[in-house]
Amino acid sequence: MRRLTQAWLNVQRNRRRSLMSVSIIAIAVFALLSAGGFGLYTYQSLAEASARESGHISVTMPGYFDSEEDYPLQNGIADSNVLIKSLLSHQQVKAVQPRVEFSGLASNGEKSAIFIGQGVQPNEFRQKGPFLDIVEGKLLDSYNPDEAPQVVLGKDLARNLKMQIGDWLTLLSTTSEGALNAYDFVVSGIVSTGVPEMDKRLLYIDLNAAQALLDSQRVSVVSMYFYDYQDVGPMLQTLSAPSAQQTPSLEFTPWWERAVFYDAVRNLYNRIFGVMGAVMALVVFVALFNTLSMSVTERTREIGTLAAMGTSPAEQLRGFVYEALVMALIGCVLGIIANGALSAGLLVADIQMPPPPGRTDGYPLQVYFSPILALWVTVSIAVICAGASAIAALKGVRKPITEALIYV
Amino acid sequence: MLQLSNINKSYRLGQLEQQALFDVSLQVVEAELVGLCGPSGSGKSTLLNICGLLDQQFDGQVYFSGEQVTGPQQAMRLRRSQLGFVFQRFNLVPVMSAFENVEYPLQLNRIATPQRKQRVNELLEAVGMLEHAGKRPDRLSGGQQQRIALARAMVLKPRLVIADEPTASLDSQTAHQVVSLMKQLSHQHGTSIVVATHDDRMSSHCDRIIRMEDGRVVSDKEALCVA
Ligand SMILES: Nc1ncnc2c1ncn2[C@@H]1O[C@H](COP(=O)(O)OP(=O)(O)OP(=O)(O)O)[C@@H](O)[C@H]1O
Ligand SMILES: [Mg+2]
Repeated sequence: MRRLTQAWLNVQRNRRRSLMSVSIIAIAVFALLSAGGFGLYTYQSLAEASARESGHISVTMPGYFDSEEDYPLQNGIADSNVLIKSLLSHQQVKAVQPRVEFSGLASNGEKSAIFIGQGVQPNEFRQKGPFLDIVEGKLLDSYNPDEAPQVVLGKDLARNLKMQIGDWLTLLSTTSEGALNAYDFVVSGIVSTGVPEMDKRLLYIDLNAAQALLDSQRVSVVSMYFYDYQDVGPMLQTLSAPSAQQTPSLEFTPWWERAVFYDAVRNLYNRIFGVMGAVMALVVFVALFNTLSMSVTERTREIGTLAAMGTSPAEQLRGFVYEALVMALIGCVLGIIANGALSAGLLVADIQMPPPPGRTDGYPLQVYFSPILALWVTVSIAVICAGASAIAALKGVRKPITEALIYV
Repeated sequence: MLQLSNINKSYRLGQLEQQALFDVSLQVVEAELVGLCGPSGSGKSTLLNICGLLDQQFDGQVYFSGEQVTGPQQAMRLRRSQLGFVFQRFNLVPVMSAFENVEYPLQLNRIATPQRKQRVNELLEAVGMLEHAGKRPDRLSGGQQQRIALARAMVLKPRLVIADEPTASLDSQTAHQVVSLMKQLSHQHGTSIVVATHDDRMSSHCDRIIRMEDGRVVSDKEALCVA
């Protein structure tokens, strides 16, 4: 306690200089926490988007994502209803959505375009929440075999084929038997995913309509959605355990193995933040080293006096390290407070970020306040400051006592 | 108690080597106040640094309480537990109060808190500074600071106190007070004190005067030092 008080008093001996060091530390901490907080926010947003798109866990036949099928639904799941029932029996699971993935040609009678289709249950849209921007019309209604089947088009595909709400569109595809099949659909909605590449090709029809078009009862993927994404990992282990294996065996793929964009962004950001962290660490090191070097030089005679009285060099070093730690701590606290204020301010302020590459929409700028990150940054800064001060002080405490005592 | 034999010491200034002490031998016994006189540059400080075990770069032998001092670790240990220092410019630690400054050597030697408090108060009382115990050095006059420094040097009841020009920064009246205090404490505690000084009034208090010139001891007697 007394050591800390003395360290605090020593910090105050040259206030302007100490204030400078503390400010540098605070700014570094603020910058690191804000960048890190923005990164965490981005990761989480992308993770949520990815998981919403494909489900937390995708259940398929083995090798579904690795190899191309020879004909539609060749590698599909046959008894999807049994599977769905068994998956839903886990209480962590919020919803299970079967899906048929297919492709073919869409034609308006005069012009055709290649499409990538998804056969989904209409309630999937509701269950997943707002992941599509509805440009016009509405999403799929519940399936009714007596009415004309509906289709929801990506906005660029709709423009390409000059489709309006209520227009008729013919979808052509190969059945699982290898024959050519065509159905007419009425356009019920036009949507945008925010990714132009997708909007050019994407369309949604009802799962049953898709199965009819492909002439198969199979589904491509069954997506599992969880209440809490913390449960995904453990559940993945339970499901993939050999004892839980069913016949025919199934493959369980977590969202992060399919989230290419998430991974790419994360790798990029991690590298950027790594470089930034290293630069900040260097700045803090140099600042503290400089401040402490000056203090040590100014206090040469004091160091000599204490050494004459039999104080060990290690003990003297400790004094300077404490001093640096006091500054580090104050700087970190200030930086953390600033970061908290920024984080809260952005929640209120609603500042939009420009669209990421390959997207059409921006997203709100937010910075997460992460206590764990704050702790890590504080510990790292403390270590850097302690190191810088020890190195700076070493020169002083190594000086011969007789020289230190006559230093002016 | 302290014995130096055949000390030769030279300083190196670049290529030049300048000898500061020539074959100095000297003995200090218990509870004596030894004055070290001589003109400027005669080697007083150089000799005191060796007596105070602050400097190990010399030829010759130093014995402290019969034990030969050979290495810096041993010197550090002896300084911590057996030696006290008084400097010309007081050298109190500015972030410590007068009390804490006096307490510091006791802390270094891990003396328990109650004894520590009692010792510090005794010494502060002895140097007449009890009422200023809580003040930091920058709020004390030079004489007051030197009295605190004296208390700090004596608080461990060391066997030897080294004082290099302890009165040079003080006016003559204050200097006189500090010197009588040193003498009194030396006799009370049985501590030997070696004082380097230019000051005749200082030397008049000494039990013994060693006079130096050009790095040599020219006289050593129980008498007044005539400057
Ligand atoms: N650090 C040093 N480097 C080089 N030479 C030194 C050093 N310290 C002292 N000397 C030289 O050694 C000799 C003795 O110096 P010392 O300081 O011991 O004298 P002193 O008697 O204490 O003088 P003063 O009364 O001025 O304090 C002088 O010639 C001085 O120039
Ligand atoms: Mg001198």
